[in-house]
Amino acid sequence: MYGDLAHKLILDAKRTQSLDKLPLYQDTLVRSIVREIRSLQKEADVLTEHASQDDDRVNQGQLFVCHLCMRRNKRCLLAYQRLRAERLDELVWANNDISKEQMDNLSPQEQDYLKKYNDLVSEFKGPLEKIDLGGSLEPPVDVFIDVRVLKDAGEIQTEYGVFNLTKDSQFFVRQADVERLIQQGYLKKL
Amino acid sequence: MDFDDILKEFEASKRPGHNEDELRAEDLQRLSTAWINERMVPELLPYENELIDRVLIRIRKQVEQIELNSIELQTHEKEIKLRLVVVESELDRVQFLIRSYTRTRLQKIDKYSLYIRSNDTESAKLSNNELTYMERHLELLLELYNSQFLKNLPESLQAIDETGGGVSMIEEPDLDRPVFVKALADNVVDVDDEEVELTTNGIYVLRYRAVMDLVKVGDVRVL
Repeated sequence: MYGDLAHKLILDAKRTQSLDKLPLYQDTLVRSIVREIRSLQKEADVLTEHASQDDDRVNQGQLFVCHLCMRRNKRCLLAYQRLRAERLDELVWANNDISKEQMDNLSPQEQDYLKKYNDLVSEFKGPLEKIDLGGSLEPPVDVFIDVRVLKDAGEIQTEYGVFNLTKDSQFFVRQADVERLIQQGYLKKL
Repeated sequence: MDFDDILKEFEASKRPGHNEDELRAEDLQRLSTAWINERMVPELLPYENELIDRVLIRIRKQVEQIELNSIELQTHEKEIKLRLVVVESELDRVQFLIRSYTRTRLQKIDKYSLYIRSNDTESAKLSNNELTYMERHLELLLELYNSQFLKNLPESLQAIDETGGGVSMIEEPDLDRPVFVKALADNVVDVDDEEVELTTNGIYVLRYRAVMDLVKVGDVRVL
């Protein structure tokens, strides 16, 4: 029935909301929905031609249903893509490396969008470089914090000297210096 | 720092009782207020251009100072260290305020970009940087929609900013969302057909629409 495919797509979008990673882009589904819209349009065109002859209630009703279905399908497509685009935006702001599996789940167009949005965000950050816009959105409490090293991260250089981050060691460091490493999962705040 | 800033600073220093320290404290207060307002209010507020510029200049100076001082750190260990920690906590907090302020604005801009773009008063609330960001982001999104499916739809269905057909595609801020406010002056506001009296220091929950003008003049504070 008309609209069933779009319903499937929306279910996928709903599932996406509760997942950490974006699932595979539903290429075939999207294509079939587009095809459905086009065949509806054809039907609507035929109906419009006939309708011009007399004032036929059945015909008008059919035409109305066609248009409603097309519009609904379009809204579902947009909603699906918007949700994914928003998730892509979040990925860019989180500023972590994006895993290969995640990349493989994106359509080529989405990958392209991701790259361009990334450039746009860097451009926006430019004039505000001193603020580190990608940094934590939790209010800061302490300048210095205790961290434990979860994975070897090599040496880091700070204004307070050089730290050699070997696994399981513990340091008292400036939060701003290690923010990125915490985000990436190398360090844990104690 | 450009010529206007120099003039402003000069004027500020002439005003009695308005030295740089007080100005700084005042700006910080205003930044916190701007941040809270932006976060709690449904619509986008005008960008605090001058305020942010002033604070950014100070941040730059402070960062330079810290870098300068940490070079001397080895020689006068203790006294400098304490001062550095104080300056850095301050710096962290101010940076956080601006970061959160900017990101909150970007969220709203992303959400309401079609609405903002269609409306000149709304667009005027954006900084130049934000304006470029919004235009480019919309462009990218449209490109994505087009290449994924939109360009394959019948022409009559290709618009993404239609308002007819029962559902508007342009999302607008919900001005009827309730907000918590504290009255800083006595006022009377209209809510539906009723008048509500606001007494100084009272705390109220009201629809944003009822108090939006008072928020802008500073007669109520958003909590």
